[in-house]
Amino acid sequence: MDKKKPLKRPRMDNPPIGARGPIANGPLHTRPLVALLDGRDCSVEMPILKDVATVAFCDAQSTQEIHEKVLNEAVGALMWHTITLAKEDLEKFKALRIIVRIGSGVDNIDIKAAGELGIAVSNVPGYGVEEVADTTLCLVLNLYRRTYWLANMLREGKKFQGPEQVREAAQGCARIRGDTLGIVGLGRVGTAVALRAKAFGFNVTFYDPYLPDGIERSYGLSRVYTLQDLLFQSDCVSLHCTLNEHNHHLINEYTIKQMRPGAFLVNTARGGLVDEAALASALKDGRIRAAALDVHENEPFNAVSGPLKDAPNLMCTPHAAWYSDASSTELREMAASEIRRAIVGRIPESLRNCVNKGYFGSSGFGETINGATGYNYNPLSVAHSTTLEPLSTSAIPTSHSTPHSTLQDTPNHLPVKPESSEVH
Amino acid sequence: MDNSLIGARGPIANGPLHTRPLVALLDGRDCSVEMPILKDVATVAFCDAQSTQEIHEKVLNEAVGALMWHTITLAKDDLEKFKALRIIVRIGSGVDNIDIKAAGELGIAVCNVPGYGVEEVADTTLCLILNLYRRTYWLANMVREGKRFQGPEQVREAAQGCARIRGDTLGIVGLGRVGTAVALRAKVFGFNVTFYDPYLPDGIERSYGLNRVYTLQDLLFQTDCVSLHCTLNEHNHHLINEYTIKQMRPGAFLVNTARGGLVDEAALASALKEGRIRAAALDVHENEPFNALSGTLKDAPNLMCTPHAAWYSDASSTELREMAAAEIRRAIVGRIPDSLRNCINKGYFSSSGFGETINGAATYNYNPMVMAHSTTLEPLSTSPAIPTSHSTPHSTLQDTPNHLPPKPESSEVH
Repeated sequence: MDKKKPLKRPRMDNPPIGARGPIANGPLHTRPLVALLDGRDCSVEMPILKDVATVAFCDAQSTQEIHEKVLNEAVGALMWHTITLAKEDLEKFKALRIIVRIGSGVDNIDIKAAGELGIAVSNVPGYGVEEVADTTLCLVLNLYRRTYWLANMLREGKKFQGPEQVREAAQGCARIRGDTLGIVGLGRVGTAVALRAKAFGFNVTFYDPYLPDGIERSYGLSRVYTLQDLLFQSDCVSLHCTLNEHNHHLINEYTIKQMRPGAFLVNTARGGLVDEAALASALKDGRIRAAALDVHENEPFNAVSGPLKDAPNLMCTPHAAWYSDASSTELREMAASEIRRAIVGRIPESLRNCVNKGYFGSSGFGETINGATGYNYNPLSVAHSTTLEPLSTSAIPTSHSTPHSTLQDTPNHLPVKPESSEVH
Repeated sequence: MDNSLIGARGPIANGPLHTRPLVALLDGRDCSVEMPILKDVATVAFCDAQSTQEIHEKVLNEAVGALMWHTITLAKDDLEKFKALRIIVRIGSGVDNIDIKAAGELGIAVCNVPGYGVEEVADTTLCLILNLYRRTYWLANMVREGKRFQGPEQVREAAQGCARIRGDTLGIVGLGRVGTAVALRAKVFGFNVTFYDPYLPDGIERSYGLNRVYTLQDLLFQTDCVSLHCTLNEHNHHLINEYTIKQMRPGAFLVNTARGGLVDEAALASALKEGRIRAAALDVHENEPFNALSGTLKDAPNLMCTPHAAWYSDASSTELREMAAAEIRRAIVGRIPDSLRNCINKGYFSSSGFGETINGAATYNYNPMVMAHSTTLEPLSTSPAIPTSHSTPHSTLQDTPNHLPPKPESSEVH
């Protein structure tokens, strides 16, 4: 039975189909609704999607702020990192099939729950790699050369009469050549950072439990096999791993004690990797000489409140390491392309960067947004792995090259939900 | 002072004498690094002066050697105040704050310390370049001041002016030690690196795998980020001025860690306000110490300034001071200028009348009028060619006091 008739929506040009029910006979507008959840600007996405979808934006910071219409009808969602989709948030969406994270981390989405709900989650890995690496080096150099603090002293009107005042003001600066830079996670960004750091005379070492042997030889780096060894040996620690269930607060009171006294810390990866209270304490004691953070446990970061409020020798940027006009455009184009692949092709086969394939049922998928042959889906028999696919951690991802399918099939089934009824 | 000093301008009296000349640190207080190197051959004192007006009469009369940073200037009339001075060592590389020609004519050798802190300056230069490209400095300050960034679109707004590095051209003016270190670091970031250096022979660009241009104008035309690494001399004051800025690409970046006099600050301020230069970073300024709250750069946007600190690390500072003290030592125990490793005004000494020691020498008749001097500075003083090391043997010969060129207020002896 057809539960939803297409309704005229004043703001949108084409009525969306009810993705959860069968398509009525006769000509239909097959433009599903794609919503940008936590932003306003769709200018880059529009040219890529407008012929296959209706694009709307929500500019929401939580699902509470999302319009009922979008919750009911959106088939695809695009999102940055400023909104979180936990299981109960995902359950609010009635028609959702694909979420694309405009970014690489998926720690703000419960991808397991999404998979169980039949919602594919894709990310965009590999954008802005060099931007993040360049910013990481900028932060490392600001710590070593004290440039940021010296520039601010000048800006505030301090006069430096001679070299001896420079020496006092530059306290904490260090010579780079011969110091050890320790990289946690040698993925795309970690590698780019390592190769840049070598040119400055750093002795570069890394810890990455997911990479095979011999990678260190390819790049001419040192390697250690425990985090503790890395922390013991490093004068400057830089984090480049994704956040997962194993490494929350990787840098905590205990592991900070394993660091060298007076070491530097840089984090351009994910805020959750660092326990900010422990970091603040270490900075105040001088156990960590200085730190630079582009990411924080709570974002947007508020420098005037929270545990880091009075920490000295701390430099914070607003999750901007990835940003350049070029990288932003590329990122958004890649995200929109993935949505497009989902709409015109099959989920999850047509997706290039699906991160939760393992949570879908072994039967019941390989279906298109606009329809599919009917499958009987029983979520209870879904075998799912608790280990995320390598894409979610720090390994170099293999590219997913699946052919696009333009086959138009009958509406697909979604897993059983309390508030909707199965049809067919 | 503990030891009585010989009058360096007069003959040494017969009999036992204390042969410890006076060495003065002119514009600082801390001699802790210099003392171990000099204390057995000299008496070391400090003046902590910012001009020769502040220097004690005793030092002006008796100092045979002087150590100085860059915060005091010695023009010709300043040099003439010193009655006994034979050697000045600049604790640093630039000698633009000393009239080395006048010093040479007065028989005062001037040495510098080239090659210290090369990597420190290169690392700071890259730090400044990256701060301009990634807007890190300005973003961090916005965070510090409490600005909240609700989402990526606010980041985009705040990060206006940031740029992707790969494919951009970095133009280096002066490929000396520091310029080379900067070039090799920049390559790794994906910069297309080009340089202009009229003093280097052909083929250097091949050694490093860099591009090269042969006029400043070509460099400015092609470059997205200009970085200055040449010394300041009489040919390149205000190298970056209203006219040459117009030759730069609209929206280019400028970095200067070399000498403030290379950049016309008024022209730079104007270009920054109009956005013709997108952002700039200066470690050196026309007037130092730099005062950010006054002067032509006061309200210039997108400007990042540091207080002539690019060279500094504890290690480089110690090495620098040790090298300077060692040069003074060579001057005291050896012969001037033969024992000196980094004397930059040899050409201004007379062809006769020198090769003498501080503590004495054979007598020579010195006539400054016949001194042939070159108006071209030695390569060490200009855009840095790789310097040859000066390895001259130390002489421990004790000779009779040397002559200094005639001065109105002193009399020739011998």
